[in-house]
Amino acid sequence: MSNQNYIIRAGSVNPVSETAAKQYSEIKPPVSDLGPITSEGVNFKIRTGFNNLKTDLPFSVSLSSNIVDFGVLSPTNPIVRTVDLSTNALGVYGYSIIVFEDKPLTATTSNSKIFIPDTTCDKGICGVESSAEWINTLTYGFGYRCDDMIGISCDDSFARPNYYKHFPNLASNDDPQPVVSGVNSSDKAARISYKVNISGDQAQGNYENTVTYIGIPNF
Amino acid sequence: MKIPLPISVYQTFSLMHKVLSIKYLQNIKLLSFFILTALYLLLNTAQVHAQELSLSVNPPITVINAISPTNTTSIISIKNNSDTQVALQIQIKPFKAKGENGELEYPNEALPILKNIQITDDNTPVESITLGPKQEKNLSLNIDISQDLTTSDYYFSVMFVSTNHASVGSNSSINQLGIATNVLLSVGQKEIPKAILQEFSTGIFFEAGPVPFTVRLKNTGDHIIEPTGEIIVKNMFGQSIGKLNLKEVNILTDSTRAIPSELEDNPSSFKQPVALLKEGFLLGLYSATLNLSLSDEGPIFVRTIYFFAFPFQSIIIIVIIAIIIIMVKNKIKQYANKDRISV
Repeated sequence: MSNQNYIIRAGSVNPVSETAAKQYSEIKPPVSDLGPITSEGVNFKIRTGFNNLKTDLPFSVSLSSNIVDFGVLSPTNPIVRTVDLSTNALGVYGYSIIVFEDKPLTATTSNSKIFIPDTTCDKGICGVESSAEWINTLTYGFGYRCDDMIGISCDDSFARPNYYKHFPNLASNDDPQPVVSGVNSSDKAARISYKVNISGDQAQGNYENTVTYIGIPNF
Repeated sequence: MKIPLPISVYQTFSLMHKVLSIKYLQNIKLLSFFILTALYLLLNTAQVHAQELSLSVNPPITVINAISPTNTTSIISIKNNSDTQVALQIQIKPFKAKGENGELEYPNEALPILKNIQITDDNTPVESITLGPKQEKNLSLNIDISQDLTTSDYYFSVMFVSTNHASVGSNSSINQLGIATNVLLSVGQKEIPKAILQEFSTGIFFEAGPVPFTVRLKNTGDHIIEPTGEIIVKNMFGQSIGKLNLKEVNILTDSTRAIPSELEDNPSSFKQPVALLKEGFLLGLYSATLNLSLSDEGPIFVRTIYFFAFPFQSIIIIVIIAIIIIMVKNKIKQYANKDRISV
């Protein structure tokens, strides 16, 4: 266990449970630092890591900010805010990052039925999987798009500019969707743009939701 | 004539005192207002600063073959790469294959062996952990494979998801970041693998390389398979011009996977992986033979396909160059003959 200030090294770590340890027969050290690493015991065999990939390279994901603040919303004045999503996936065969929201942007007042609906874009055809153009300032709602910054990892549906989707909504039983994916590679980065636009009828107040990104290595 | 009387010193001081007192009182009121406002803001809103979130996990995959009864333990290392403390919730979710490239999806189903799985930190079961800045922690994944556990495969992800309950106090989205590591658990005696080679194909005709081969294998057995194989490409004279080692990928039970070549990491073929023969110049009839072994004990699939290559573009260029050369030669000859005649 370690951090910036200290490192604790265990003298010996027994990687098997007490019961299994009694039956434990052999741990094969890796021949090289390429995977997989195998360990065996009575009645079980464990392999970790991928064939021919370095085992000391962890799978990493980063998000530039834990908050996207839209500030004050005014009708027909779209607000776009961004966060950067990056990955380091040299130790895996491929990966994807799935995304979902817990609910639409919802008023923080006691009346939780007031919300900014998820966008369906200009022609009312974009959703959680399919994207569509959203440039009309009279089209209201909350949505997102993905732009590649380093390498190519954004979903193909964002290839055209101003094409948006809306986040899968867990409260509506939507399935989480991949926002970026790719093969094993280092330092991929994408910019996620959140866009919100309200109508003049939208009730005054603060609106909030939670958006979750989960990095998943391929199997 | 009336001469205005000068204001006495006392009067002056008295007036100044009054003015200053009013200003002082006003200042006090103003100051009180600011202090109270600041206190109100401090007490009624959480102090929120935008923070980076960054997580790493290792290993990204753990494959366990076990025969009941036994207990298995493997290590999962999770690291907070950011400069701030992060609280992580641990979730265990079953998954299944999505598509044919190793991507996965999470169905709305419960994992039947969830009660047999435990994540422990120093032998203490945990459902959440807190990591300090740059802190790394080794957790144990313990699976109790009891005798009553059905002989089957169980595929699940162990997820670490940050929790963020901060309220900004304005219109905002709160972001959470998670990371997963996958576990492929096979319980029961290893059987002879069963699979169907659904496709081994390429185009019929190519002008030039590279040549993509599609290899799709469906696992119809009860346990995960990890086939090994190669594609050997020969020209019409029987000479080997290329050997493609196939990537050793995991194929989940009752799923199909497209198998790429070992060094094939082309982002464009991410969704539809292919084995790529990177030979540029090709001419004539070629054969490609796939040897695919489902395990060390077999069975082995052997299949041969053919394709034809003719570099039309190159040939046309060569022919044009040849024609130009012949024309130039003829012209030179004609001039030479004219010279001789004139002489």
